Amino acid sequence: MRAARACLLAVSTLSAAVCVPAPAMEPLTDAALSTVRGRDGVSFDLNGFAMSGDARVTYTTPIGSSLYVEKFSAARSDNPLPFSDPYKLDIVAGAPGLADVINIAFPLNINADQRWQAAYDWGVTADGVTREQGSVVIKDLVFSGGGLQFSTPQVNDGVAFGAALRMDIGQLSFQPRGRSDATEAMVLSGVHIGGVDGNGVFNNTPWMLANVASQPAVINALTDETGPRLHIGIDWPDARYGSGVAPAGGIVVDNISFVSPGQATVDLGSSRIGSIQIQYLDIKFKH
Amino acid sequence: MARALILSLMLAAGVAQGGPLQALDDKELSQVSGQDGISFAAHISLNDPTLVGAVSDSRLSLGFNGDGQNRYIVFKNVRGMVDMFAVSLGVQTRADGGGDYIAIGLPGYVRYTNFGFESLSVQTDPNAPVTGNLGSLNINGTVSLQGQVRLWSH
Repeated sequence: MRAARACLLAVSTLSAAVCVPAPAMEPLTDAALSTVRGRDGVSFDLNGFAMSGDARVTYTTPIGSSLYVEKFSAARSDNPLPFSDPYKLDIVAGAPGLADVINIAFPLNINADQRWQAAYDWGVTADGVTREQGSVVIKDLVFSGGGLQFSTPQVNDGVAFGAALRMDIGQLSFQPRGRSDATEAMVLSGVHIGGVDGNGVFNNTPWMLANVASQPAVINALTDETGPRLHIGIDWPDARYGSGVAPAGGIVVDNISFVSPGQATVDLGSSRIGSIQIQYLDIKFKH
Repeated sequence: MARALILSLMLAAGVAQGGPLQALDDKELSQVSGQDGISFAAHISLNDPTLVGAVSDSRLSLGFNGDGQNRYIVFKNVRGMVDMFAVSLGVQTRADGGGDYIAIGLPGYVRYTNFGFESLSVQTDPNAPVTGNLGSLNINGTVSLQGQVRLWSH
């Protein structure tokens, strides 16, 4: 036993002599310390993204009828300057007295370089009959700014969240004959959703649908007079953390038309909702 | 024991013959390249009811407290299979000189087989029989992805 210890000591001593010791830690002066910069957030982005396939997602009700979405395909073009305009995830301080917030900021996408193309098929099944409803085709979907927030609710448990949206869609079409056959379709061209000014005119800002401090949205489980329920809601505007007024948004569709083989195009013109405010939302799911 | 000592000394001598370690500055270190990425494929099977000893009633519950009561969102029998080939993970250098980034290559083949859950309900007791079922969700089929998800600090 003593010999073994001696051998171990000898080897340890030799190893210590061979290895180069790490330099000792050095104290930093205030001036040196002030130059240290922490990187406390994560940027992320897609590059060359595309997806396709025949996967079918089916939601089935308790009585057996179902809704399915299948053959989802999507692709996104990239900013010509990679890394210049990513999604950004940060943990930021909440409003006074409130919890910290996970903040995900979407790319500003000023030149609309990041464009989405997407399509999917859908249908329903009820009473043993499946009805294929055709395809939904989305062309040139552009998100500009906006983002998501997540935090803890001010009351009760759950997930509080905020969302801001500025979205433009080049064309949204519903095609009963499939995604590759646009000869019969309901076509919405130029769909725009975003923040508006006091006159209901787009002001090139996202529409803040909810904010974790001034008008929080929440997902949780609540109990009403008939039992516990899955709940999604948006609270009233809270003047303690903002203006007390719900942000206004607008929806514009430049053109709505119907096309069918052998028929003249039915052009319904444009549609515009100048100013929308969500003052309060309360959804409970029941069966 | 003597043999062990001799072996240890020989190994130590081998290290010494390799020369002492030398510190590299950032510039030299950035020139070092290697096969430093990994790829992985996966076959995931969750709660397969066809296997011997399979659990017939598994629960995934999310609890919420408020007004003095506990409530639970309950997913019953989260199950199914996912086959995925292949996700790559590597570290690359940005061409604009902004540092390095993590590149996650998306899988070219993903197959879902009866992946989903049997019921979704909200209950005061997560282990009680399901009441107020809101329905089930199921995914079947393949998805092909391409491109990367890139992550870096800011």
